[in-house]
Amino acid sequence: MVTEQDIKEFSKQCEEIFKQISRDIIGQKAVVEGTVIAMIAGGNVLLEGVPGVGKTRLVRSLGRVFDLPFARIQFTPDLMPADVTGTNIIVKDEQGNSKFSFQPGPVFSNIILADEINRATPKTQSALLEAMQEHTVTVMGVSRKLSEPFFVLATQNPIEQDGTYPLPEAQMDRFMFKLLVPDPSLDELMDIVTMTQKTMAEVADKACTGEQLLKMRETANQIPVAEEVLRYAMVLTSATHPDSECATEAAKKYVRVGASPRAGQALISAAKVMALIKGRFNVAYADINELAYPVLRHRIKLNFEAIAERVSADAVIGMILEEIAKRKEKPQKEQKEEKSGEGEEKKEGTTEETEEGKKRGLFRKKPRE
Amino acid sequence: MQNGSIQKFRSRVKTEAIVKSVLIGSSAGFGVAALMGLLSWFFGFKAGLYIAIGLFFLVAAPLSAVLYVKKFRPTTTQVAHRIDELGLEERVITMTELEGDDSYIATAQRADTMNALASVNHLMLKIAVTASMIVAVVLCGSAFAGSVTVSGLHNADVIPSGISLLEGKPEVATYTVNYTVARDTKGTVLYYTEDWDSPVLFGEEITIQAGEDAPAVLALPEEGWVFLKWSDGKKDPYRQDLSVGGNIELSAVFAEMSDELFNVYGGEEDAPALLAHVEEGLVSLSLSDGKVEPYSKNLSAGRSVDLSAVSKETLDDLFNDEVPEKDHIEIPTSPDDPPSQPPDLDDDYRRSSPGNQIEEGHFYGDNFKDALSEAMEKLQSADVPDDMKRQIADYLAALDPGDVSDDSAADGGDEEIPTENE
Repeated sequence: MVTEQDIKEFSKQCEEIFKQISRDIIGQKAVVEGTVIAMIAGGNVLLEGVPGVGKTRLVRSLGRVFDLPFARIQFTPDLMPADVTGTNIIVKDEQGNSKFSFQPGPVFSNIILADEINRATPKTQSALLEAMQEHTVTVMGVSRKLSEPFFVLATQNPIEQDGTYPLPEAQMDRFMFKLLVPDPSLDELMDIVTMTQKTMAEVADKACTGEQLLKMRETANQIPVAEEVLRYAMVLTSATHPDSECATEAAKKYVRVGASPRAGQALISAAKVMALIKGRFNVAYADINELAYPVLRHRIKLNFEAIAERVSADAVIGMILEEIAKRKEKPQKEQKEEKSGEGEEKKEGTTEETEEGKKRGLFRKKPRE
Repeated sequence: MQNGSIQKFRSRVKTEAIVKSVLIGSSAGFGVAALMGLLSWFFGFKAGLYIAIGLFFLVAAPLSAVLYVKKFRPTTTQVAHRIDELGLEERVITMTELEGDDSYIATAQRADTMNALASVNHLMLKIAVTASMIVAVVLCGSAFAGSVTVSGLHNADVIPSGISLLEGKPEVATYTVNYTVARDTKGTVLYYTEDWDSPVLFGEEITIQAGEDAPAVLALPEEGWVFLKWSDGKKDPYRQDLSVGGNIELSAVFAEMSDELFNVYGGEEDAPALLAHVEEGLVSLSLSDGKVEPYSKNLSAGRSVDLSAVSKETLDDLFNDEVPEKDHIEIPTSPDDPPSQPPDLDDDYRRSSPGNQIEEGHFYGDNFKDALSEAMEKLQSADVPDDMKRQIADYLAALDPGDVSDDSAADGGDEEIPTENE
């Protein structure tokens, strides 16, 4: 049960977190905020940006701010899965007998920095799958639980660069957010250079313990979500699928594979945190819309047409949001049409009409039982 | 608590719902009424105008109520949606869902919502109706006004009905025509149409269209009666009202033949009354003096009488210019004598001076003298030879019928009566 004290502490700790991070990171407000939200919500974050924009520094600062064990894995093409998860090695006991002993890998930490994750081979990349989702590591048939809280903050260079291996969809889906780290503005650049002339070391202090972070997560989870807002988020997720019942025209045109149910979970979890950070005790459509980009951009697989037309994932998400918003603006009218549409469907019974009818009724509230 | 705080907003949304219901209800009412108005105009159903107006209220009022109750009456959720649209970021909808929840987070959410609500005014909630609703009510209202106007104009006989326009025959008003026999008089009224060979007894009223001619009718007295006049004063026993522009209700007035009838002028010097008795198959047209009554009663004793009755064979002939010369006159010596008896005329009548004939209320002789003196004056001043003047004066003097004041008529009337040719 959330108390007033929990809310106050949440606000206070959030404020402190952002304050400490800002000591190390100049600018990149959206990235910092997104990362913190994902961490509070219990999600992994993939930071994408060209080298030198502060991805690694951000993660290192977060490790300091949260006062959690931090491990860095530099992904290279020759990195092996065992280098990540750890492996059994033969050791001799006191009696001189040899036996296998598990040597934990860097993944056994609370905050994992998977630096340049797309430079490793897919096999090594996949070594993180279990850890990211189940927070366990299985080696030689033995599963070991990772300590909570556990986060993977990965950085990757744009996949167009040489020597990169695109992350498999399964792994991409396990990142709650994919945040694009932009180049700093001129003023930010000047501040960065000025700051690093003094010292290159991170100076952020501890702002939150692991336990406090878990408490914050628990508090955020209690934020209520109106049924229609929840429905909206799910519609948005479903609308990314070109073959779903509520597919948007943009999805039909540009998307080959839509977002998984994890996207819906991520949207709601992150939206709750975002609402609470903003001092609101409910999730709003605006939260969903804002989070749609980091949640969905790495989960939708664009088709050839989008690539040929150089339509980015963010552009497609924008189109989907726009289309969903239009549907939401006329729920009553749509309901009316849907009713008449249902009548026609019963008469005609064609699949296309049925799907359209369902699509039109997406924002209709379910009758309370 | 939250219900009370959003009451003003709810009222706004309710008002909007009522406006929408009334707009749609009115559109439907206008539409139905317009249809009714048009149908009533088209089929010439005059009561349809009032039915159309009644239909508007009959349809609009209940439909508006039903629409409000069944469709537009705002639920708490809908009101919450509308309030959230003012920028409250789904606070109100969440609050309504958390109603009854006493947890801290729900309480905090309510408090947050109340704070947010305080920042907005209920007047910010615009009463919004769709353009299609306004267009519909304007169109249907215009159609209603148009159809009512058309129907009203048709009711006032200003414009024809639609069906008559469609058939190419403009609707014309109809009138009734009825010719009857006056009470306490004896006679019949016959009418004749081209389709029938003989006159038919006028029984019931006839309906004819405006502008058409009424059938030709003939007032025929029974034996011992004579036709006096029609109730509108006309004295022709036959009549045909042309280009009828209103209902006609006339009666033929007959009079029983009696002393009173023929002794209008009184005195023993009156000439015997005449009655033109028409043989079967003929109708009385007039007497030769131009009087249309079949009887004559204005003859004074001592004047010569030369009258003939003019009759025609059928009513058709009456309306043709050809007048058959079939004359027959019966002059009874007294009203009591049967009309079939030929009169025994006194010679004094035949010798009456032409000067004693009455013309325009004066004796012909007096009129002649006035005209003669005027002619003589003009002759004297005329620029003609004297011998010509004398010849003309002699001729005019020869035309003198004589002084009416002398007793020439009473003396036997030996003077030569100038003929019409002279």
